[in-house]
Amino acid sequence: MENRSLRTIGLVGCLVWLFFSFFPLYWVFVTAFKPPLAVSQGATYIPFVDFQPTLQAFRDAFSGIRGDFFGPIVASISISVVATALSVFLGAMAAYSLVRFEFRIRLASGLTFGVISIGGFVLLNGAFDIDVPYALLIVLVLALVVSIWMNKYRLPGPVLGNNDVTFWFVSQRMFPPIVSAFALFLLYAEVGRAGFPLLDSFLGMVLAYTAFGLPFAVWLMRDFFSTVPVEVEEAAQVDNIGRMRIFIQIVLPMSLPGLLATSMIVLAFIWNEFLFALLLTSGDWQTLPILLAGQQSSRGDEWWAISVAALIAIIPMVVIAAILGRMMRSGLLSGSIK
Amino acid sequence: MKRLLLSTVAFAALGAGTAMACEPDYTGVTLNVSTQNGPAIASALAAAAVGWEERTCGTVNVIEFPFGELYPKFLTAMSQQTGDFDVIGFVPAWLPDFSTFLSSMPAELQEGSNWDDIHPVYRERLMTWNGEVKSATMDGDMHMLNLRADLLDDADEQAAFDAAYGYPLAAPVTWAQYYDQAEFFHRPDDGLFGTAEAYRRGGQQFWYFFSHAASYTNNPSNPGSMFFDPETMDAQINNPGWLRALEEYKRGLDFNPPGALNNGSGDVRPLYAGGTVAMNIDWADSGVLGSTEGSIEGHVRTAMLPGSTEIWNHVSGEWDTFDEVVHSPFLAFGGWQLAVPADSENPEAAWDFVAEVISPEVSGQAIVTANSGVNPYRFSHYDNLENWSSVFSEEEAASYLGAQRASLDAPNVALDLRLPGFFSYTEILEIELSKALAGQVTPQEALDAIAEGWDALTDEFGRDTQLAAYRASVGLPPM
Repeated sequence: MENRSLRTIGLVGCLVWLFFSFFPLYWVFVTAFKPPLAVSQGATYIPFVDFQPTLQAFRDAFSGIRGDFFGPIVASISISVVATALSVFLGAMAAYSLVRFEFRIRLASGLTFGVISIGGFVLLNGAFDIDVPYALLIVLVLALVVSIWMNKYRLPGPVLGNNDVTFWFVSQRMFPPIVSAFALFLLYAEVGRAGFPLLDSFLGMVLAYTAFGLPFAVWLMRDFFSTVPVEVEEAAQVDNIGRMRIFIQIVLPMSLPGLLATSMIVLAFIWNEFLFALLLTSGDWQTLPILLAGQQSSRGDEWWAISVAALIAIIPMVVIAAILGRMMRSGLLSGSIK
Repeated sequence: MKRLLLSTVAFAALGAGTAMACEPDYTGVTLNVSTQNGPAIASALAAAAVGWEERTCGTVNVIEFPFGELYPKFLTAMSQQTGDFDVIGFVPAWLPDFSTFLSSMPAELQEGSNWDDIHPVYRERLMTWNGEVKSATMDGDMHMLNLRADLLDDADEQAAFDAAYGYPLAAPVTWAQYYDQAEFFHRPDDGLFGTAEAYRRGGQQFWYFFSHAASYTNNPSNPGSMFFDPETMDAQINNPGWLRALEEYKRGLDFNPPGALNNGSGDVRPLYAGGTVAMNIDWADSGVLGSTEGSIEGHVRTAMLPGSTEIWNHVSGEWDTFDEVVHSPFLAFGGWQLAVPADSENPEAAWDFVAEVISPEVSGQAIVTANSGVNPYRFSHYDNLENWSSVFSEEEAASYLGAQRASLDAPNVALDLRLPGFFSYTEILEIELSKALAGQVTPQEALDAIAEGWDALTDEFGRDTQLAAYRASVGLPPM
């Protein structure tokens, strides 16, 4: 009896939670079918009872008078899928190395990198008037080579380990996005002036979002790789199989659920990202969040149009999440970690 | 013989194919034209692009951004000279910040009948910055009072109003009459409310407040003194004129539908068009919506904003009284403008496109096209009543256009705030205004806080710089 009561309470609690979870979606869905007067003249809930539904907002959206929906959908899908794949792949490599190798980075060599790159840039750009992209390229390569060379020596000061490197990755996402977004805009503008257009380009957006997604991927994949038994890799090494082959053919398949989960999270972040997209795109590679925000115009909040745009924006994500979720549940994946 | 010659030339021209059809020939030129997301304004630009492309063989790419992000997007692109945009569609308040990055309108566009056809308020004031024409108005905007003929012309209502207030029921001429009517028609039990205005922060709230304030602060004896003292750049927003405006604006909540504090202009519009309120204050959209999609079709009436017989004089520190009502209609927002950034690679083609958009023919069609967001700004727009037959009845059109023309022609017409750092000023304003409307602080406390914030901002931007910009914006000569 006591169990039944608890189950009933649990069920009611779940239903209440379900209601809270689904009501916003329902509200967006029905609002997309409301005429303007039904939106602004008090709350209406049920189509054909409270209000006469209309497809006008959908017609407006697909006719193009509320902006080009097709272009941003294609741009969002292509940019986010490629950037997610790159982020997760590169992030997985970084995470794997952080789990399996020991890093010893001397703080002094890191500081040397900073001094050479900043001081060198000021010198080349300020004194020698070398264009920003070229000055950056020169000093970054030089700073990297010098700091790696210096790291071989017993420099005074603390030595940073794997956890510090991981924290450095994650720290990239700790400061407000506008800090890096605007700097990236300025950099892209300078690179564009040097003849390599990155603003409003597929390459520019993929590069930016790969960097955007990398910290998440490193952080998440590090935990997944740490659960992969090292004995499997050691057995492969006994058979004289190279590290890269071990990583691609053994470690990655064994971590596929983690890769998919990480991909879903990174994809969701990139899919919904607004600030980078706003600053770095104009006409050709504008993404859906920009279009979505644009439905709120100077004429006020046109909720019917916003709802249609929101529905259109979430459908691809729902499809991708469903596919990935299905893959995670499939026997194919469970087999790989047996 | 002459006819034969002309025919031959015409035939030869046709035979020459499309090359002869391009006038001027912008084959291979692609213009990136950017503004807020459609349909408003963007659809008008897209429609004009079709004609321009046919005429010039060029291509127009309309790029849309969220309204809230338009300002930083344009400013960063132009300041970094990315050359992203050939034509930008923006609002006059941003012209002070944008002007250094914009090219001036070619002299040939500043002459002739098309130029003279633009109302001088736009042509000589809003399109000009520091003596140069930097932009072209493509949409005329102002706040107006929308009324309902089914209520105003009802004999029973007229008699009851006369009996209650002692004067005939008609379009309110003063704000006192406005509130009388709002009170008279406020019948929540019957589902009718007195009026509707926007009170929500971020919902065009402050423009409604400005519309009230213009009547009490835009003193004709001291031109340009509505927002700041044009001699010292001291904020005027906490003087008794502004205080009266805020108290009245807040009083209007009593006659608005429930939840009015959450209403933006987008909510005010259908409240009027759907017959929920007896009147509202809005841009020109309410009238069109009421006549085309609302339940008050045929009853839309429009009037100039109410005025006042008392206006605060900040120099004497007293109220100036006038024998006649002084109307100070407020050009809220001021409409959309087009400009050509100096870093455009195709300035000639860009200005040619601007000329196409604002031409009497193209703009005359845009103002009567649903959802174009374009409102009249040319004399020809106000004169051609027949053009409006698809939208309004004859009486509605006469009232709608008459109110707009009268507002622009009003000698004491009030222009919107145009100042570098516009958003910083309005942000402070909106925060304190919302507190006052919510009853968290008194109106005087809110206005004092705004004035303090505005003065601090002015010092931060540089008082002399801001003073020079403000004087330019209100048409005063440099000090």
